[in-house]
Amino acid sequence: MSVTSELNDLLTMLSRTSLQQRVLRALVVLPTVGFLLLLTAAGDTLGPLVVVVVLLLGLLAAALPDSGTPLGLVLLLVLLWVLGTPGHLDGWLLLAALDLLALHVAATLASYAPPSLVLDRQVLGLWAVRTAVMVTATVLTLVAAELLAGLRLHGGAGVFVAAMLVVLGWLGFVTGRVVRGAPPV
Amino acid sequence: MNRTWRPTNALLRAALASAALLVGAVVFSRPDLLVLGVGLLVHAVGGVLHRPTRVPRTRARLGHAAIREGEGTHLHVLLDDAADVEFAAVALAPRRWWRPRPATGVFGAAAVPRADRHELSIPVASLRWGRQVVGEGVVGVTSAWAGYRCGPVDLAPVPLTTLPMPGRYDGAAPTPHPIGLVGTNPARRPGEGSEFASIRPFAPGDRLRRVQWRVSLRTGALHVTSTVAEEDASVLLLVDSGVEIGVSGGTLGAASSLDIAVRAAGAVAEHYLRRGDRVALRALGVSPVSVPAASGDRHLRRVLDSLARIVPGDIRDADPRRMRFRVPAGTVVVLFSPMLSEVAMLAVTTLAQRGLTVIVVDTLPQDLELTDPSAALALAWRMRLVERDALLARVGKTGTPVVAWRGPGTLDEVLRRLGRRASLPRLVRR
Repeated sequence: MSVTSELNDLLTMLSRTSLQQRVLRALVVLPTVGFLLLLTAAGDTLGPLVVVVVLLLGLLAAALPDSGTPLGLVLLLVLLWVLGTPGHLDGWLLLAALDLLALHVAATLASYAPPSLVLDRQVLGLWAVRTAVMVTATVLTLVAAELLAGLRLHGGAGVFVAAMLVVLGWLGFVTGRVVRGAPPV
Repeated sequence: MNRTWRPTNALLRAALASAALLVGAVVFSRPDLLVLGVGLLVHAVGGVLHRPTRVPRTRARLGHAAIREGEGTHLHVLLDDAADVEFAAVALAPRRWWRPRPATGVFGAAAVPRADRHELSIPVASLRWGRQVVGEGVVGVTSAWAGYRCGPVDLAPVPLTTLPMPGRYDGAAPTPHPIGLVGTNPARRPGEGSEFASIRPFAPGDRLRRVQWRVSLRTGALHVTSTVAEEDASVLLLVDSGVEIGVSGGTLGAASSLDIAVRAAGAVAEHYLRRGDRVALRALGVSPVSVPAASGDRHLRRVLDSLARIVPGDIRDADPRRMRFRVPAGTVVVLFSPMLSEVAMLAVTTLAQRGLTVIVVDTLPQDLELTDPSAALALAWRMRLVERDALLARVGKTGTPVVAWRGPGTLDEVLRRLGRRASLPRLVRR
């Protein structure tokens, strides 16, 4: 299939998109722009090329939410955060985390089915609860991190190794469950 | 087609991004990365903890196996072993003669939590008579937290029979040759009926309630009112399906010649069968449709079902002169045809020569427009119409009336004329 026909298919698909899906796809683009503003507010200086690349990736993620593009976008935004901000535990961090969550949830909802689908209230209600759980976990983690930072604990090699073991254990668990998929029936 | 559960891009995104942030948080001692990633981590945990274990099985069925044109029913998509399903979506392939609701054909609904069976009911409407398959499409299901997806799986299509539109025909004229035992058509012989025949002197066996007292008093002899018997008639409906002129728009658009023929035949069949007459059906064309004469509501359903099986197409070697129509003498034959083929002409002349009363209902659409307005095509069409005029002239010479279909009362005038003509002597080739 040629690039022209693929582009034609994409445009046809977008023309049949329901209003709800358009809103969800806009909620993929808006947090992308928001994250760039938050990066600037948190002290980063963004070059025009980076802004263009991120925005293009944001638009592509909105057009193709059920692809690897939103993952690339999230990783790029996180990379920009790591490289461009000092890593303070402040309000900008909370806003950035919520912004990232909004992008992720919007892309998830937009990728449920073909773009002409309208998700029913039950599914939207489920995801409202789940988003609230994710937001609560984020806020609690920020509060816990600020409390621990206030205690000025010094982590040694043992703490590092323990943390790495936890992270690697989680990675192993996830790999087993995600990469290999569901068991054959 | 994929009949296994696979992790969604959303779960992969949540798992990979949260893993990268956790590793970054530990390696670079950046707690802010943990804050950024914890929401995604919650999603990943939710997704993998609800990993499905059973693959659902899908099947489809229709609420009704047969409906009328323009009516609707429900396509039920059933999911068994669906305890792990949180959301199911169906995408139906667009088809010309049936419409789902929503019109996009994409329909989704959340499943009942932990229920082993899930059902999606999609309203579908049929736009044209005929046999078609409904439900060609795919089904996809998603597990909790949009973690895993199964499908899209092809949905097995379900056959749907669409009967022609409910009859819009009514006629007051009786059929010219009633030949049965009981019915509503006034016969030529006297008998117990309601149609007045004459006033005659009383004879043994006459009922007292038939006594005509005024005439009896005036003449001094007992007179009675006599009536003609009422009998049922036999009607053969011939549908010329060899050619279809015009583009059918279903119930929402213009009608083709075959649309008019099938709907008219259905309406006439319904009219006569409701009156208690016997109706037979035959298609002149590639469709092997032949229904012997019978009466009753079940027979009406059989006739309508057979009409729905008609497809346009001509048989090259068809010769109506050799066809056996298996109808008794006195049967009224109604041919529904655009009169553009020699087969229809031969059928008319053959049946008329056998002594049957034949009526031709012209089904050529009045508002026919050429889709390709090229000069050559316009000329070809004009030549075709000239040929048709010649055919109609030949039909006229056989004494067969031709009427255009206009709904209620279409056949009344010709049936009355034929009724009057039936009482006259005539020459028939045996």
